[in-house]
Amino acid sequence: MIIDIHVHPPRGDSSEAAIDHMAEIAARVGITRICLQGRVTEYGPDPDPEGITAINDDTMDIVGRRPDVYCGFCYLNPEHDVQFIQDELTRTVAEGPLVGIKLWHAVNCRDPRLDPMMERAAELKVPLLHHAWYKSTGQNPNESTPADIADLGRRFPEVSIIMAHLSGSGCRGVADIKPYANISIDTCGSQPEQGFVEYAVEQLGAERVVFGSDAPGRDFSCQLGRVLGADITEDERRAILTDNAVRLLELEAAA
Amino acid sequence: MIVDTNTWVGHWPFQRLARSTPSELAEHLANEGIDRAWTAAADAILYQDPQLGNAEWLPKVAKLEQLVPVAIIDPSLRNWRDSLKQCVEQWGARVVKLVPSYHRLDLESSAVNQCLEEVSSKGLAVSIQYRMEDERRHHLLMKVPAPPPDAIVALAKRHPQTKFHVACAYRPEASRMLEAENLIFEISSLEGMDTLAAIAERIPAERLCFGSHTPFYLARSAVLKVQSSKLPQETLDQITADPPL
Repeated sequence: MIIDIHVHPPRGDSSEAAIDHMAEIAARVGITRICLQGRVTEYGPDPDPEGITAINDDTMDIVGRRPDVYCGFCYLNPEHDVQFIQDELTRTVAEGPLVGIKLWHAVNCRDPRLDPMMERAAELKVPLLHHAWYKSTGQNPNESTPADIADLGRRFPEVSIIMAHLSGSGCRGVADIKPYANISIDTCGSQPEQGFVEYAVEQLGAERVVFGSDAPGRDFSCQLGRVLGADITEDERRAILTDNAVRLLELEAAA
Repeated sequence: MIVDTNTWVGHWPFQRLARSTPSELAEHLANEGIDRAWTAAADAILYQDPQLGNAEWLPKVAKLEQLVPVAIIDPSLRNWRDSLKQCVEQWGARVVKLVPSYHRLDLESSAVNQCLEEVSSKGLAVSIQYRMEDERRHHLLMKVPAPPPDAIVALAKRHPQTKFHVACAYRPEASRMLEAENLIFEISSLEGMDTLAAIAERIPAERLCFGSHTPFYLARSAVLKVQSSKLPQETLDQITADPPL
């Protein structure tokens, strides 16, 4: 079983055919469990509460229809009213099927407005997947860097944080999060550059590296090639492709 | 049969390249199921005279049957004719690669156009290296934007008898360049869910060819794009064969 922890729903189409097609394409390369991070780009970087609700409804709908393949995270915007955020977490995670929290770049993760949802994540014992990137072309407004993620991990050591985009974070990003054992990194971000998986495994240990593709903007097969083609041991590969996600998502190992 | 039209040997200051000697590359590509590869010297892009990089690596590349020597030529240097002659006659180069971004080429210049005419007259293939790395992670002190797609289209239209191979363009860029019918695109940087099926909707298979950009990228990633595709086998065979240049 290969688990892809960083996938977005098929663009503009949550029909049965579309979600089955995505699952079939993933299965061609052995990916049989997919963790959805929501249709985030379709509502812009700073969605309103209605947008958040629609995104999470969509994720829950897909998970409900194909629970054998899909699980999903609750997408939130820390700009929103604390009560709305808490209610959304209750609706989608505490009382719903979602198994984590996803944040993009509406608010930089050093902002104290993240604190209530991080405290709730700790209470619910669910992970956070947070966008991160170091861009020499310039960050987007409020976009978190790996150094910002490191600060979040320091502030909330009891929350498992998955920092997105190994290639976008680079060696500097890996160094940033190294001191914080509660922060893992996913393998996606840009093209399948050689060397980054090996570097992350060497610096963090394979138990802190988790496979993610960022499909459908990216290709399951191409992004999986980063891990299958990396010069690492088979135990390390299995940790990245399966074991770490099983642990983070509390999946059944043989599911 | 897989022919990889975008591989490299040598060194690059911004990424530690693994298996980047000709023999290491050839062995690695064979292990990944790649039968033959166009191979250029990465060092040549950043040396003041690319011929220093060509001279260091192409003689070694030429000794390996699996590798096809690719000459990096900078037409803005006055010695480009001598460099081209040496690459072809001494080291057996069959492909000439222009790197408009790093060499800051004025694609409308007479030097570029004369170079292309001479390359075509020798029956050599022309490759345009559209980018080397994702611009978002370029070194802060060395940001090298990719050329505008329109400039490549205009270049191709000025040389309608020449077929150009374009390496490392992204999907939107390749789509923008489609209007020049003498451009073909390698797949290393074309990506989306079920890549080949997705791009085949816009780009005819006869204008696609296999490329991995190894060792900058992982060869496995490009191979898996093909192996996981449900396109007809004859279409996949067309993409992985020698490009029609």
